[in-house]
Amino acid sequence: MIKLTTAEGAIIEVEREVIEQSGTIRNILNDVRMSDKPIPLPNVSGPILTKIIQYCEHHKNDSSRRQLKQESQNIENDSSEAAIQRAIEKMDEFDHNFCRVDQGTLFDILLAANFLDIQPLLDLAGYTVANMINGKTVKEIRDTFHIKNDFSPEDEERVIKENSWCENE
Amino acid sequence: MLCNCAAASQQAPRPQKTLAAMFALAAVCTFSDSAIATAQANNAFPLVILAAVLQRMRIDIHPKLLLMKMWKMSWVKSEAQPPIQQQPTINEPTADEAGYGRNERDTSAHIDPVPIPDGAIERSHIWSGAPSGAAAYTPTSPLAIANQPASGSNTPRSFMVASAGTGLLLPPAAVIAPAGISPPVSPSARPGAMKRKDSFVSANRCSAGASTSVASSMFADGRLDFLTYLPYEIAMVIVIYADFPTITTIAQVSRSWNRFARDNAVWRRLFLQQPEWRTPRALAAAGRTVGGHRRRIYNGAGGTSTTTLSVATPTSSVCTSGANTPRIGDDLANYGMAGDSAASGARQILSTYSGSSLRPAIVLQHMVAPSPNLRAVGYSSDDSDCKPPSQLLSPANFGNSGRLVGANWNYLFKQRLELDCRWSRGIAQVHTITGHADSVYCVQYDHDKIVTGSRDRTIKIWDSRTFQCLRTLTGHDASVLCLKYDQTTLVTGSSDSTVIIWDLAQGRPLQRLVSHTAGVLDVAFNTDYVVSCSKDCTIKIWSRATGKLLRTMAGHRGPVNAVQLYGDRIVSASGDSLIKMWDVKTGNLIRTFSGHTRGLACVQFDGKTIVSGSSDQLIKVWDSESGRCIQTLKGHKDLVRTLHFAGGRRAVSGSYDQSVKVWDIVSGECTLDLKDVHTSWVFDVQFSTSRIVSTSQDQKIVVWDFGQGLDLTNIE
Repeated sequence: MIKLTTAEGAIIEVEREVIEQSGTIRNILNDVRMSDKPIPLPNVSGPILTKIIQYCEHHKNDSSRRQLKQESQNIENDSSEAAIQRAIEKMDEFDHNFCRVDQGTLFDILLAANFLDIQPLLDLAGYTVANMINGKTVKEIRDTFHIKNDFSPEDEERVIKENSWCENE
Repeated sequence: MLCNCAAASQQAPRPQKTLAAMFALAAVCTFSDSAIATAQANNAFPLVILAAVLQRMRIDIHPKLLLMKMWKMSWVKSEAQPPIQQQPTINEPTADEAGYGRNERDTSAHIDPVPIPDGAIERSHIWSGAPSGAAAYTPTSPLAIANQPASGSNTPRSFMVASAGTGLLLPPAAVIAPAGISPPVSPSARPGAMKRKDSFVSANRCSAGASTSVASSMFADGRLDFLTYLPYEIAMVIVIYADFPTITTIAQVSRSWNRFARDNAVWRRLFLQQPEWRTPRALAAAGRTVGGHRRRIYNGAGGTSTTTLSVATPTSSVCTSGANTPRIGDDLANYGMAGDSAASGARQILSTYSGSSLRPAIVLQHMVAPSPNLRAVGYSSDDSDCKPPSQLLSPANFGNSGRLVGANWNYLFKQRLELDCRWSRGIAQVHTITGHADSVYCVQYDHDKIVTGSRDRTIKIWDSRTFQCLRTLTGHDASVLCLKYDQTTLVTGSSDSTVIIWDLAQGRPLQRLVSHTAGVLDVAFNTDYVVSCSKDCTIKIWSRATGKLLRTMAGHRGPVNAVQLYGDRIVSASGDSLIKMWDVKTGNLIRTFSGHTRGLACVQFDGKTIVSGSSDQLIKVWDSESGRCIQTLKGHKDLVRTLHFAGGRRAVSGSYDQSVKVWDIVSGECTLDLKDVHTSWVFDVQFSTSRIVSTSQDQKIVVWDFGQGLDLTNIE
């Protein structure tokens, strides 16, 4: 079991196999022998770490060595785009439910996944956030996220012109 | 740098924040020494290492992040003191951890120390030294607004999931309690040392106080400009998943959002995720293999295009360069793109620019097709948006070593999208090549040449760009009915019942294969075998090296009109209305496909899917494994004489009804109908990413060029 210290200072125990999906923790465990001491994760709050452990728990069998090997071969053979595409295809019902959280939590997960270096989770969170803006109009995005249109009139005209290449049909 | 940023920000805060900001500034300045000193004092070597790592990471911290942290600290200090004091002693952090905890306050939470391996997300240090970064954080910025509620209430803000147990799955409205409304979390809810098993429940009950992390504080109301306030590379994780229309929307939202829509990595992904859009391998690989500190490149991105385009259906893209090279990758050699090193790839790509992709083609005869499907034939007037090649691969794209760093993917995307659009709308420049003295039976072409065979007994090689006849080959004693070539060799079949193998470069016949007793209707070959089929109802397999006849297959009961070779498989189509699949090595019949009601004229095979054309006026699509017909394409009004299909969704057919049609073999739709150009039977058709070439009994060779004026140098 590995002990992790959350931002609040609470200690959470987790199986090594589960949390090793985090590249950051895997590296720490490989580089430094400190299995009895808690690993401080000052950037990850307890609830978020719990969520992330849930995720890792669900996916711990995905990353068996054989699969990893196979995937690395795939990645050599095709582009990173195809890898991303596959990542999307691999997302299951658990993943989609996992992301049914408020936006604050979602961004927390995104940042934590980045910090902990859990690529599939980073993809999942990024993909989920992207879906919040996919299909929205410019005005809808500005309204939803309280974004001020800071283009000068000339710039705006230019930008609209540049990006109007898909409006017919 | 950090200190400067902090100092800059210090000018901005409102009075009640000043104290906190000063505290933060002091913490930043003293952090590293004290943290290491603390760690050393406690003889905690691993922590020293970690501290060093974190310190190294500070190099990448953007002022915004620093401010995020500082703001968090100030908030922790001013509002969250009680929860901290209530922290149970069971889990009191040790001195080491306390020292570590201070690291956290000063150091970026979110700098990923491990580069993402696939390079899809570009990590550029755009923040460091961005002079306006700190200045953007004036009290009127959204960040400051987010801070605002704190000043109105002393109640601890409960951003985090306050409802225990189920909280994390609640819809946002239920979860996000506005500041000042939610009740203070009971001190008893503060968990002690949490066991993982029950931590889900207890963790949710964490006091909102110190535990709330940066993001939830900033984004909890779901209304903050997240792209602007997230670190760039994390924002890119999101943007990289946006679809194409959304990227064009993102570009128009605001200045900072526009930046994301101009990122080369976004366009690279958008381009490469189109199933059938391809670039030379060297180009795609270059973007992938170059490491994390690559510059972002978007010269003139956005461009000045005035053309409105649609997201057209992805299209097939292959011009087979011979029966034995049906795969796209094999064609790379033709482009000189399969260079081993990136450097040679770059040279080759550059040298290609000196080629004439942008040189206006000499139009031997420019026909304005009367068909409504060919509106706007004089399209080149709209080509002002075609940028000079220098913008595609500017010197900025090459590092000091001259290595190819990447292309302008936005530009490539635009060119490719426009090409798709022209295919779907039928916008093509039509070139007609004349020169044969009789019906033109067969054609194959590539970027350099067009090779045709005619009833006038000759084979002519034409320049693909100027359409001048380069060479005329004679050798057959009757009509040249079929031909295939690869890099070195041309194989032709004739009504004189013979097959001739030619040296393509010298135009010299190497071997004459004699055995068929009637006209040779089709040929195919790979590195080992030449396969021919004939009106005598047989298929013959020959050794390519020696020209020796290896095997004769006599399974068809009618003339064998077409034959295709892919790997070890021969697929043949006959006047007996059957398609048969054979093993080239053993000559065994593997499968028979029946379904057409009349004789077959043509067949194509990509290793998986078979497409056939028949006298019953139908085109059928077959699954080669199951033998099932999976699609029937209706539209031609006479015998379907010729087909080209090389994988993907697109197939092009030519018929005795004088039309050439483009099909989506998955949907079964005819996407383009090119009529009224040929004035007699269409005998052969070939297509590539940007062209269709067809030949006819009317003695004409017609080139339909969808790429006129587009820069397709790096598009395959």
